[in-house]
Amino acid sequence: MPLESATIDVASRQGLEGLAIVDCDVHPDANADVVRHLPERWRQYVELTGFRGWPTETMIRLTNRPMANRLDTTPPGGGIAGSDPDFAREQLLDEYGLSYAILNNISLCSGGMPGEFEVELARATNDYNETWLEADPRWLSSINVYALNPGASVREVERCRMKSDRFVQVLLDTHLERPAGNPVYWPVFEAAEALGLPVAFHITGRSKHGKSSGVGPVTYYYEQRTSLDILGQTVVPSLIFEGTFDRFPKLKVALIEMDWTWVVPMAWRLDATWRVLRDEVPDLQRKPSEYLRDHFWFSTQPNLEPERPEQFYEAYDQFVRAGFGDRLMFATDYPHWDMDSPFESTPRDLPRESKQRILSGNAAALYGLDLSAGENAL
Amino acid sequence: MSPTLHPLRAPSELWDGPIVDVDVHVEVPGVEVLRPYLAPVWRQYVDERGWSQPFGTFPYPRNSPASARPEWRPDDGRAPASELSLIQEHILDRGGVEHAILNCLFPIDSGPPDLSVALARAVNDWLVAEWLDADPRLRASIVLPARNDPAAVAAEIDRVGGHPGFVQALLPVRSGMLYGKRLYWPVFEAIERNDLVAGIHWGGSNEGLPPTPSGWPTRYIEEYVSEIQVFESQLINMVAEGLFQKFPALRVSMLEIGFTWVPMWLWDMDRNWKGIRREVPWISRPPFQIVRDHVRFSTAPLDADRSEELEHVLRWLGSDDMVLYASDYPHMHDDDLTVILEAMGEESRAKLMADNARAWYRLDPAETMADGD
Amino acid sequence: MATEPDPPRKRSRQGRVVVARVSDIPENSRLIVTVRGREIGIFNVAGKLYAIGNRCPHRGGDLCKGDIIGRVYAERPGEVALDPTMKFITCPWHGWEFDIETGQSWYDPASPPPATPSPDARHFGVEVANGADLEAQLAEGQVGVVDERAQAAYVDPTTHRVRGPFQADVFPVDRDDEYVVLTLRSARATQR
Repeated sequence: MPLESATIDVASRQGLEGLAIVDCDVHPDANADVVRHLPERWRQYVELTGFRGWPTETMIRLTNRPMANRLDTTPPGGGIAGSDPDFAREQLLDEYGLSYAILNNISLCSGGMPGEFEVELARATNDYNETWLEADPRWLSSINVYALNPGASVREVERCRMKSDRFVQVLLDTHLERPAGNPVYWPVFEAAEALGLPVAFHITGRSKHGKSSGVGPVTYYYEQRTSLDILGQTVVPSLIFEGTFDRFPKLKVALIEMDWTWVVPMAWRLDATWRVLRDEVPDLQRKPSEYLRDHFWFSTQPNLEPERPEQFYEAYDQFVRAGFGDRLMFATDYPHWDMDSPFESTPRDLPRESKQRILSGNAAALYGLDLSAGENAL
Repeated sequence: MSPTLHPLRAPSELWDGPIVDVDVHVEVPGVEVLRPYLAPVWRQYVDERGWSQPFGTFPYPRNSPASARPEWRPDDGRAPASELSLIQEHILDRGGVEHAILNCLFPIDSGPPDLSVALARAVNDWLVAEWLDADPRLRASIVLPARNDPAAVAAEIDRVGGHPGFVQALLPVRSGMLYGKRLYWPVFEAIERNDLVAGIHWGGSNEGLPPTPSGWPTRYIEEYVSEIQVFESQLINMVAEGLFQKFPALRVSMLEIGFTWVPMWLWDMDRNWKGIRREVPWISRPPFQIVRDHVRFSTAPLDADRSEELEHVLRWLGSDDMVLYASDYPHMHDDDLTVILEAMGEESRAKLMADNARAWYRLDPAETMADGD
Repeated sequence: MATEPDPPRKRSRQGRVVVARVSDIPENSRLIVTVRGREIGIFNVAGKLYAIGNRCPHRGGDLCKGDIIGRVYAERPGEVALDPTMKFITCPWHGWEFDIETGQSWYDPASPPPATPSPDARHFGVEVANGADLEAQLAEGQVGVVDERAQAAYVDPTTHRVRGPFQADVFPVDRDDEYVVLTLRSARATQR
């Protein structure tokens, strides 16, 4: 076996034989290629002014790694990691025998730019992602939208679905200027619900709010990197208490790369607080934790690594007892440095049924995926 | 009030040992009680403007159910928690209570520095004269002036920190600039010098910034639920900035945010530190261990309502030193103290209800025990 | 010579294997060799050789493709310094640091084991031996030779990917040349 790839032999798949794997979070990253899909007027704008909203600190990462990538994911032809779909196929899809992988292109959403540019940029990003869809049938993609222009967003969602049904969800930034449930975004949710598409949230790599916390800017990448579940803890209360799910009862929301261990304490807190303060939200039809349980999905990234191995099972069992067993979806986060191989990060002693749900079953149900083809056909 | 809320029960009905209550609020009923403690120039300031309260973001809307339990709202229209007699009646004299720590959330953490210094002095002098000196069971947090003058904040801590009744300096969690940042070092030097606890508590002006990374929540209930992430950001920033290496004896309390979120957050901090260590190289051991040594959490709001689930969280904390009983008087939570008493296990209940607080706040052994009523 | 020498036994009792010529691994380069199905990175750092298993004990990343850096340390914020004498190999995935000499993982320097057992990378004894000595040792079965069909490759320091394949041309040994010999018996760090 060539040294080029990791040595995935039979032994390392132990316990996962015959299980299909769907990867819910892959990050293509190709500035120049996306810019090529922009109209000339905005290509010139990028030349002239660039992405002003892009804070310079986002370039400074762990050991100076550009764009927070795993060191050995640079394509052989050059360019940065995530810019070559053929190499990504080899290093990800083939390496792990994935049935599908969902592209979340988070590299070109910035905020603080001309509104029309943001709309065109989202469109160009989706057109770029389409080149990946054409490169291999296992790629699926999110639809990028500039959510603060809901009309343009709705048109973009419809445009992408006309192109391909492998555009499987609508992607919103966690760092928009108004929290996730704000009614300004509701036309987007309405369109997604009508088309049966989940809405996903993910932090974007170049948001000008990317270093913000609820108390002003953080100082270290260590903080920024660890603060991903904070985003989930702001998205959830906003969506719930704005009444989004009473208005859109079939809407499904995927929180990508925000892990899942905060969910059960959040469910407790939602209900405990609501029991005291419910008069402020008299139109809410249900207990808030019920919306959390019925409308949200979560990904395995960033991976749970507790102090002792048995605590993983304890935390996961509590998560399942609370009703979230069909909500956890495997993600690699390729090509970022914190990515995990499915074979290395799925705890061995989980029951096989749980592994199946996490590795593909839950995602297949959410996105309507056919797992019956491929090397790991069920 | 919804009939499904837990009825108010004194902790002494559920626990017959000593009690230390680490989060009892005092409300300044109006500037008139502070006038005697203000210098003449500030009395004139107040009088000229007809000024009665600071302009700040109150974390407790007056009529919100969360702001006070019905049992703790005086019938005669006095503000809840605004007089010593109310706190004696509702908390201190209920049996078993050795000490209560008064946290006055008077919102002067932002704004004109000299005015806020004057107000802070007045509140602290008022706390000493009419509370600490009036009832030996009371301890209190120092109210700090606006953070935009760290030297003035340190000076106020030095001015009153020697009074034995002050055990903590109150740092509102929404500080607009995370507390680990180096420009706060003069404040923590003063806290360390006076051997006080740094008490991070719900509230604060946030210097006008929104309290989430994605803008302004539109409802109080939404803000309230997502407030955990404000404390999470403060905690990781203090650890990341090396505050506990710069001030190795520093004690921090995180108040009125519960603790069910803590183990998961610390697991995340440990995992990332292992690979990112060299960005924050002063952290030479896992952050979870640093927090076990340097940080404590109060019980209210509990959020959890089943002891068998809460047990897991307590076990993951890995230490029964870390959680301290608080009533959070006069605020209302739908807490049932039995849930945590059961989850804690028999051997650890005394620590939860009194011993941890006594150790953490260096409280004297009980001088007097109030008789039960 | 009239006849080909017998190929050496691949195994030796001490687990010693000749894997490369010293000249194959110049300063600041590294070679990943495959010996008995196990990938091992041999590093030449400032003239000294080290050997580390190419598998991160954290989550299985290709450890030997990572950066080599000095030790960053600080007693307190504001006092950051570099100890250039202590070299770490860092995993290209999650960035964990491993002492290149002992394989010890560095994330927990303040707490001694076994209180906090930290997973260490495998390190292997590496020695330089001259061809003349090796000839005799080979004949007596004290050292084996890497299978010439085994894959080896250099790691490109910029892309962190391998350049290869590299053919380990080590048999027959040249009496005048110098060779890199690995000791394969498991060598966990014994000293902290």
